[in-house]
Amino acid sequence: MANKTIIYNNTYYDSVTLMNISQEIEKISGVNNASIMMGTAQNINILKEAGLADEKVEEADNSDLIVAVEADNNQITNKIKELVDKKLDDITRGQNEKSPSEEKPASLEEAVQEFPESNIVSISTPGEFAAAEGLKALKNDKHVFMFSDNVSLQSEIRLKRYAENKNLLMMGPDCGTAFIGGVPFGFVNNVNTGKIGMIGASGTGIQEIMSIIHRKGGGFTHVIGTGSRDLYKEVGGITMLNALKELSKDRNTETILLVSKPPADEIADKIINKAKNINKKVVICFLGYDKKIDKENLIIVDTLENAALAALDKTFSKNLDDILIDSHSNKYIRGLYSGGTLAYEAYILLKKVYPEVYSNIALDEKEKLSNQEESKKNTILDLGVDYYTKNNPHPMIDLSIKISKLKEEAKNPDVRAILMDVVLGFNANQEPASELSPVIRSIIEAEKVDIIIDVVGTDLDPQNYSKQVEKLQQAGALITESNFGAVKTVLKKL
Amino acid sequence: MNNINNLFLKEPKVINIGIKSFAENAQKFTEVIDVNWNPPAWGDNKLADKIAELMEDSTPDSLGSKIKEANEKAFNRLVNSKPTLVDIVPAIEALPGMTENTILHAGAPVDWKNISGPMKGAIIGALIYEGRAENREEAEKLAASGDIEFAPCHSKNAVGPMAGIISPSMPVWVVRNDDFGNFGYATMNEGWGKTLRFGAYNDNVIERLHWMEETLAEAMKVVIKRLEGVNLKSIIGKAVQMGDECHNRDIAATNLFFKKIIPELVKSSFPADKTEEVISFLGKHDHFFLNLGMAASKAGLVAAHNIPYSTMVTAIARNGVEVGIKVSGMEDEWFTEEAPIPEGLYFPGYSKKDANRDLGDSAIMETGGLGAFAMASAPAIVQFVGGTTKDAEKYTKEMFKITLGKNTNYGMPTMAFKGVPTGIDIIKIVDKNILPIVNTGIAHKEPGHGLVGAGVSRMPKGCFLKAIERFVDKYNG
Repeated sequence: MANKTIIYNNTYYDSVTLMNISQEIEKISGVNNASIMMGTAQNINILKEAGLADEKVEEADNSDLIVAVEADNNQITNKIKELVDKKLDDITRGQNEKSPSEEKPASLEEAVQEFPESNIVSISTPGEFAAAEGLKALKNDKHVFMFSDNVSLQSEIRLKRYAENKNLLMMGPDCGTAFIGGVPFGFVNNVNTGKIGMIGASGTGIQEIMSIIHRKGGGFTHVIGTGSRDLYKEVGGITMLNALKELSKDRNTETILLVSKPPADEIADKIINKAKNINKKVVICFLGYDKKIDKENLIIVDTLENAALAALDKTFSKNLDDILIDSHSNKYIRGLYSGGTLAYEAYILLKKVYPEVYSNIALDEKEKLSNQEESKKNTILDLGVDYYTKNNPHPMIDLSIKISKLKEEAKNPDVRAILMDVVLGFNANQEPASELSPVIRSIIEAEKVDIIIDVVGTDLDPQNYSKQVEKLQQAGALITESNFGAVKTVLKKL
Repeated sequence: MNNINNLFLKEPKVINIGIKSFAENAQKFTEVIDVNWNPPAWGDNKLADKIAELMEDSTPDSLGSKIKEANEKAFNRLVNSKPTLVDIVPAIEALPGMTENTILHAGAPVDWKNISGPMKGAIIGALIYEGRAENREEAEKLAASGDIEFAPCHSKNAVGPMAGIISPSMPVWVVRNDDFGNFGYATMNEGWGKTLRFGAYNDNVIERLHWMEETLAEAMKVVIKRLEGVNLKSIIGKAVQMGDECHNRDIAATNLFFKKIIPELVKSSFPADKTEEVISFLGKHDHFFLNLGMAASKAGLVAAHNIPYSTMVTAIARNGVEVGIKVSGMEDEWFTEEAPIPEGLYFPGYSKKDANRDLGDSAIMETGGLGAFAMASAPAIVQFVGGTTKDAEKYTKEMFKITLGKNTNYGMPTMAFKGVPTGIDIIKIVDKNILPIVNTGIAHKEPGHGLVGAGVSRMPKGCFLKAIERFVDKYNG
């Protein structure tokens, strides 16, 4: 045991400073008791009563600082002296002032206060919190782009009705893509501005059309995602109808394009009825919607590529049956898609040829794969469904699931061709061709299998479309201009 | 007004919440602010949804618009309050419903059997002071007998620091809120160290209480009369500019008050020997103004209480066992949660082991926008909150995030004379996961010891969560 009393002559500090320092001292291990106080008669008495101070303490007076410690050994008491010296030094020099750290707003409310000119809030929080943030954004008179999914249908309806009342745009929940006035939201390609406005309840459907139109020289005013469920009966197409009304009035938009996965029939009818009364050209691609409507300025198409061509006033063949012909091969096609709409398009196009096409997204229960790990005959897999993304990033970002599936399917002697998408654009994988090329090259060398890829993207994308296409071609893949083109090519190959 | 057409014509300006790369990519094309987002409501998504429903809304007649209007009203009544000291009289005369058997205490209601050590000590002392008991044993017996009626100070629009005991003979300051006509009350502050409010009840403590009743209160009555009231708002405003946060540091306010009253006392016919006693007591006492500040704050908050739909907190009070809060739109309901042990600095020989749970009505200062909320303005005591003036500023800035506005009557020189953050909003607390902080004294957990340290304390989230749930039941059920 070692007792030590240190006296700093003519050194005044207020009691709070000193209590702070004694707390620091007590944190040192091996210290049993420590006190640091000014040398008033009263304090000296306290120290003596506590048995903490030695006789030296009597020399101290009012203006002296006393440090009294009881520690396990002398080494520790020396350490304390150093600590007190340093602390007092710091205080004198004001060195314990921390530099101000740059503060980011920590809530929507703070962000709105800091940036009142903001007009749109992009929300990609975990789904269970997204609706609350969305409502707060709308209450602050901001439009919303909501990437988050797993939001209840009830919340979606509430948000969309609320937005409608305030004439605000509610994109999503589960909205993957938007491009407003040249600004990208979510997974989206970088395209030229132009005269076409697009509204879509489909992420990759939108991306496919945007990319084709851009590559063929067209451009966009605004591209509005509605979220995957907007055309459900319960939601009633609230966002698509509102966006359509506004785009029809937008003086920069000359042509309007609507795209969706299969909508509820009554909602599709409702939207088409609205579209009929618009004085602009409207192109509609509701995949799986079969009704034919003839009206000047209203064009209904069956494929995403045709939607792009129609919007650009280019010719295209309307009769798919002449194009899609069964080759009666005994070998099979496998589709590996990261884009849900692209998978769905491939599935319905192949259905026009084959009586049975299996898929994890099949509409017909008989064709639904009971085991997603076991492809049957002609199979189209959407690798972006929850089954695959629960524990992994989306296949647009992380290609590992796609690559392992590709290797697995290519080895199957019954498989003749593999259909794939590679989706470029903001927030997608930065070098998909570099990751895929070695795999493709070794498959092409070893197996009698064709790999046909629809690359979705533009030369303005961070990955650069031409560069990616060139790399994939060098590896031996066949690259088509569209997903529809890929399906046509695969049928020819069989 | 933002609408879809405007969005199409103007460039999107983006607030990003969530995935960082979304912000980075949009940033290449337009202005973007990225939010450092955390799940609100401490991760309770159902509560987050409820909170969003309550938030400000421009839709007429919506719940959000009613709450916003109610909160504006509550805030304006608080900051427009004009607390004026008008009298000092025995509690039994001043406080409605006070009887000879009433003992008031800090915080929400608490049973004698659960009462904290320091509060027990203070009640023992008060019963001895009142002549109802000779010693601790007799006092405890009387207190447990059921003959004494315990009630929160707040139930009579009064407030008491620490144990907050008010017994019938104790003189109380009478503070009138001029324009609104309501009152706030508090006892006089006894000084530092071993005092009744920290649970001490030795002979010195009792003697001092008698002297305060017989001499100090009489002197104060004389000066208040001669001055025709004392404007407390102006003293607080000046004190904030002189480095007080008016809770743990009251030296400027006390000096200003002293300067105001002493000339009057000296000029009066109050006996010279007693005048000398009063001057010498006040001259040694740096915290004398605290209780006046508390009564002033309470008077403002009473005026802001009972406004339907308001989510503004009108009282935070600790009884040494639980923290209790009141909310303007929730009538007289207390929302309580176990009180924390304050983080603080302890006097030599004491440590956190000796500390009682957080105690006292003095959090009425923070509820009114002062105390820890005005910490940036009190650099002299920043070491209670971690040591540097930057930390103090950080606390004040944080409190701006959970308050309805700034009280420009109390401008903080260190923050470019910005008003103190005022009007705690339970919606903002739960939305932002930020709990109010309170500066506080720390009492020994056993009766009879007194003050052992001082520090800060975060109010427990349970009070605010309970209040929000009940508010939703009441107004959005």
